[in-house]
This record gives sequence, C-alpha cells and structure tokens, in this order.
Amino acid sequence: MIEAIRVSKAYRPGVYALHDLSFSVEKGEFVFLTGPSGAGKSTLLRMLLRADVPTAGDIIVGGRNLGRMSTAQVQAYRRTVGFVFQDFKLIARKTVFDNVALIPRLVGINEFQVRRKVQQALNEVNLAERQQAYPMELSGGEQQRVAIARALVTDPAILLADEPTGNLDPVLSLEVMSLFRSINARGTTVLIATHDRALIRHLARRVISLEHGRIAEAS
Amino acid sequence: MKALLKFSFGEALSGLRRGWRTSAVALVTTVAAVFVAATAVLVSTNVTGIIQRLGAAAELTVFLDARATPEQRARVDAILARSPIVLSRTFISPDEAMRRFAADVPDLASLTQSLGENALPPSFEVQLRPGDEHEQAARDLTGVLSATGVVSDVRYDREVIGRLLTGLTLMQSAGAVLASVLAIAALLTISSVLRLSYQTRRDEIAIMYLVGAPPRAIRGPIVMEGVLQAAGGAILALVGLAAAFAWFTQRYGHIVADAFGLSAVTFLPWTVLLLIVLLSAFIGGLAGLGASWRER
Repeated sequence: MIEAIRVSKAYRPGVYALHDLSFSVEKGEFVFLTGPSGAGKSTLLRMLLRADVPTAGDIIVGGRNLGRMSTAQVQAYRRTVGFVFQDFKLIARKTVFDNVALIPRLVGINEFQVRRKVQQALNEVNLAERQQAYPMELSGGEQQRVAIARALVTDPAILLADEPTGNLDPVLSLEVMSLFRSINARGTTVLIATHDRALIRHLARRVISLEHGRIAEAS
Repeated sequence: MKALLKFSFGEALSGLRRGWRTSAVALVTTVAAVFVAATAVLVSTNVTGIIQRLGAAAELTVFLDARATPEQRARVDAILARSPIVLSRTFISPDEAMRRFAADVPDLASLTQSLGENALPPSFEVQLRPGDEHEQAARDLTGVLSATGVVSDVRYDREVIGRLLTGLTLMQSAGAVLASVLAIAALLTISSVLRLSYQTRRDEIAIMYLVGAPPRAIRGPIVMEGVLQAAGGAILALVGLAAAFAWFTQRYGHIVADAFGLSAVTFLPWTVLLLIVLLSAFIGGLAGLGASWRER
C-alpha cells in the first residue's frame, strides 16, 4: 500500500531530515511511526501527503509514485488519503458540519449524499450533536474528532495522522486511539506519527522508529 | 460545476462582506472607469448619428463671379444638370441671397444696406445624391466647375463633415484613452484587493490544499469575487449614467434634437449595456484569476 524506497530529504546540502529510508506498509496495517522530536516523522508524513517531495528516492502509494504528479493529480491523491493534523486545521468560520462536508461538496456529490456521509462520519466520532457548532466552541478533543471525521468522510484507503494526541490529555488520547483502531478494523490502513510511548505500548501494533532521519528500529 | 459555482459564489459574498472597505474602493474605481467608458460610447453613438444625418444631406454651393453673364450661368447650370451625382439645383440670385441673409442675421442687415450695392454673389445650391461613393465624383465636379472661369468658389459640405469626423475620431480616441487608463486603474485596484482577500484567507486556503480541494475550488471564490466586484461596479455605473442621461434629456434633449434634426437623443441599447456588464465581469474574473495565480 505504502512503499518508501531509499527516500532522502535534505533541506541543506549534507543536512538530512530523512536519510536513505526504506520501508513498506501493507494494506489494512496499523503502524506507529515514532521517534524523538526532529527524527523526521512529520517530514515523512508531509511527503506521504505530497506536501513535500524527497530529494532522492521514491514514495509509492497505492501504485502511484508521488514524485510524478501534476497539481491537479496531487489534489486528487490527497482526497484519497485521510490526514489528521496535530493542530486540527479546521476552518474557524465554518461549522463542524461544513468543515466535514467541504470536500464532498467540492467534488460535486449531491447534497443528500453529502448529508448522509457527514452524519455517518460525525456519528462515528460521537459529534453528531455538535454539528452546528463552530470549532472555537469545541474542546481540543472535540476539534480533533472533527478533524478525524473530515478525514473519514471521503472513505480513504489510508489514514495518516501526525501527533493526533499531541494536544490532548491521556484520557482523550486513548479515546482518539480507540477511534483509529476501529477505523483500522474496517480495513483502512492507518499510519500514525507519535512520540507517546505509553500509547504505542497500549495498542501493541507495528512500530517504525526513526532517529536522525533513519530507521532506528522496526518491529 | 454547479457545486463549484455555488461554493465560489457563497465564499465570494462572504469575502466581500469581510473586506467591505477594500471592496468599496475597488467598486468606486470600477464605477468611475465604466462610467467614463460608457459616456464616451453614448456621446460617440449620438454624434455619429448626427454626422451621418448631415453626411446624407451633403450639398455643394457654387458661387459665381458677380459679373457672370446669363450665358455663363447657363453653362454652369448645364454642367450641373449633366452630373449624375446632382439630385437637384437651385439658382440663388444676389437679391435672394440678400433676403436670406437679412432673415438669418437681422442684426447685420442694416450694415449690408449701408454699403449701397449688393455685395453678395449669385450662386447655385446643389443637393447631391446621398452616399459615400460619390465623394470622388463630387471633387471632380468641383474641378470642372472651377475650370469654367466664372465660378469664384465651390463650398463642399463633405469637407466640413470630414473635419467634424476628424473631431469625433479625436474625441473618441481621447475617450478611449481615458477609459483605458481608468480601466487599468480599476483592474489593478481589483487585483490588489483580491490579493489582499487571498492573503486574509491564506490559512483557509492552505487547509483546503492539504485536504485535497480541487485547484479550481481554491481559485473559484477569488475569480467570483472579481466578477462580482466588476459586474456590480459596471451596473452601478450604468444606472448612474442612465440617471444622468434622463436628467440631461429632460433639460436639453429637445434643444440638441432640434439643432441637429434628430428625432431624439438616444441612450445606449440594452445589448450594448449587457455587453459592457459582461465585459466588465470578464475583466474582473481575469483580475481574480491573476491574483489567485500569483499568490498560489
């Protein structure tokens, strides 16, 4: 499903964020990407979202080489990948419903279908009651769940999350992780970048550990 | 497409509401540009009508030498009679010329009487057949008449009309230059305002890119904002021009119509008005596209 082949990213000559990184993630897997700050987790996830490109090597997702895409193809690819950001990235002046409905509406799905899909996604994250609220009226955990609903509404084959529990307390973190686990149980490939070792131990899934831009340990 | 238009329209209205001060500046500039351009078109249309009317009734005035004999006069008359471009001709004797002069300019009539003798020459007033294709034939006829030796002067209306046309062309050019300058100013203002609007929505746009919004959905609201600003400005300008025109025709319309023999001074036809609004909207859309492209 996801294949990184000798991927390197250098922001300056000789200064690598990622160095000669190779790994693969199978369809339906749940994988943690971990490591200390600056290890390259976010850089790798940005590349998987095609928000950045490798200096060397290839990233292949679902058979598509991310380095060889036009702007329109990149946007179409991003719609097939659900991404959950650490800082949620919700549009403040839109309601919960409108944030989640944004992409389905823009790709021309009829309003009836949009409503059905958004309700389904919001039910899944237990936020159906707050669909008319604005992001600023929600707690951090609720905002994160809206971001997850937005990532799920397009029925992505892959769900990527960058430190999704970074701004949450331990109880909310477990709640969000349990949500990811149930999403994965439906067959969605899940790749989560986190430095929260306790959560990783709690879920006991495959781990790719990065250090200084290289794979330090894989289990 | 419908979803994209609906989204772009909603976002554009929201953008205009949020940045209403800067949008108002762009609107005022657009109103000024379209008002000047449409005024130039309106004046030009009416003046062209006047010139066409004058041109259709072109005349030659053939002034004879004061000492011309009846035979010489008959020779000139025969030349005019043979010419295919002459529709009709009327001989104006010195006495008739004096009578007309006294009627047209009564203040100066006493002056001519004090001279003792009638200084006005005999002449022929010649009506030419309408049509631009007679231009050269009229000039040839003028040459033939001058060669008779009894014709002291030939006045050809078309030369006056030609000068009027030159004046009109100059006026149209000046109007076009002024309208172009204002249109460029409006374009730059709209473009700057839209770039500002893009900047204020930068975070939202970044989010839209990250979640996979199609590029046209990201540019759409900015393009639509440009279209709405420019079309709104054009409509306001045309409403203002219509009001100014109504006021002018109520006060001076009959004077202008009487002076130039027009049935009425006319406003721009609705097709031209629609064209002006559509053209403005297109230019506004281009400004939006340019702004979103540059800020990408």
